Amino acid sequence: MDSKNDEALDIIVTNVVATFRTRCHLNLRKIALEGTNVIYKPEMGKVLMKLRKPKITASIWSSGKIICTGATSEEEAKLGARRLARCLQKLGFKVRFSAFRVVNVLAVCSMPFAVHLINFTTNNRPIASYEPELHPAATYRIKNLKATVQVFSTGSLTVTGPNVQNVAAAVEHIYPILYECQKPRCK
Amino acid sequence: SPPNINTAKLYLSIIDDVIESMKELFLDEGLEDRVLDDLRHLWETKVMQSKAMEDFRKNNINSSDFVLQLPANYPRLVLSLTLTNTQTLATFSLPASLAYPVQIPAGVTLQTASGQLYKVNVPVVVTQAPVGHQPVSNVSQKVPERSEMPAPQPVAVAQNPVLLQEPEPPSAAPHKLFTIPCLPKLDLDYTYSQLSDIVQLDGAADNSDPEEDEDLPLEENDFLGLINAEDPLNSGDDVVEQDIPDLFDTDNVIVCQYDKIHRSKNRWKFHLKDGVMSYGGRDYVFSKAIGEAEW
Repeated sequence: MDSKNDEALDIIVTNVVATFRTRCHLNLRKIALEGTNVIYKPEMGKVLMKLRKPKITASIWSSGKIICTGATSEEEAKLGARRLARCLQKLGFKVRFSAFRVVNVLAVCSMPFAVHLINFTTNNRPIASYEPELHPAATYRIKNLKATVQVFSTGSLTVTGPNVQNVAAAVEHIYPILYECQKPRCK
Repeated sequence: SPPNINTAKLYLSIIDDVIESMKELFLDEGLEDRVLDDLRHLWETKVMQSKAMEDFRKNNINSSDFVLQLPANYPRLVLSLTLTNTQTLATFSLPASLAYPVQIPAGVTLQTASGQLYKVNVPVVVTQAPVGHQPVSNVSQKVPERSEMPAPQPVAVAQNPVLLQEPEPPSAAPHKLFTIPCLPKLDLDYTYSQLSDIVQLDGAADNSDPEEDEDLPLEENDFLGLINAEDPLNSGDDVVEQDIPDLFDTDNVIVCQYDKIHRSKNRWKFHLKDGVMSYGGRDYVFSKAIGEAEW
């Protein structure tokens, strides 16, 4: 992330998913009745709790496992998770904030050129795959980064990976490969 | 507003139904009629105290200008209409310049400035009664008790043909008043804009016992003690409390059943049924209510 790039590509993190444990059983019905900004989903065995700042949604299970989604950075995800744990603590549960980890980061990025997806796929099989009847984007999986890039013919990308650093690395990795397969935009 | 008259009527009829169905029960229990009458009176008073404001306000202030559509040989009259909280009665006032007796044939259609139509099904004759004469009520519907009003008292109405009597001399009041039975068209639709500033509350607090912690082996406890010491949740993690006081400090509530409640991101859509909304002190009873909100 510290390396200088020639291109100044805007990588915009749109979603960070994180989990943590409260180390205690959670009474979902009590959370649903007494908590603020909650949505009870008894058929799925969970309660959603939404926070305004940061803007995150947490899925809360009675086991004490909580999945936190909607943050736009890893720090924000952690802050939101802690605030959420604090809310549960205030409801009376013996919450111990533990095992916090970011599990997924989603980002978007736009190439300054369009991409010829057929050529791209042909040149990069089997790392790249493209089934236009199923999905309009080509998929490129970077095994060592555990990251997946979806390439659209417009040059737009979506990148998913285990953390922000890997996602940025994935973009750096794929840029030259895409550059080779660019096509004029107006085509 | 018209919906409140319907609500008052509904509540009074509910009280009526309940009291009537209790008569036998009370007698069986050996309680006097008076007890039930007291209960009815107490109940009606309490209900009227919440409804009364709106209805009285309506009685005294709310008036619309009417144009009386009369046959060709009649002069065009502008009436001032006051809707009262009496059932199916509307009070009109005629300009004082009109000479008694005033005869209005049956089948006259009246239209308010807002466009609502009222059909008067009986011929009406308005005469002047001697001063101090008590108006006679021949109307079969019940008229709830009201306290003294500053405006001249509306007069009750007899059926076919209608004879109305005005208790006060024209000089004392700028308008003559007479009452005609009519059935105004009332609707209970509420627009989104009227609901937009209502905040939804979660349900009342439950008092189920909090679950006990799992008992962990000692080593794990120590380990967790370490984690906890590093990362204790404190006031630095507090959610900003600003919206919580506002959220709970409201008397505006809806009690109802739901057909469907839907959410997409932060857009909520409510399809509600069979309920009462208490908003701004007034009760709005509905069989169907649709709402939208943004969280």
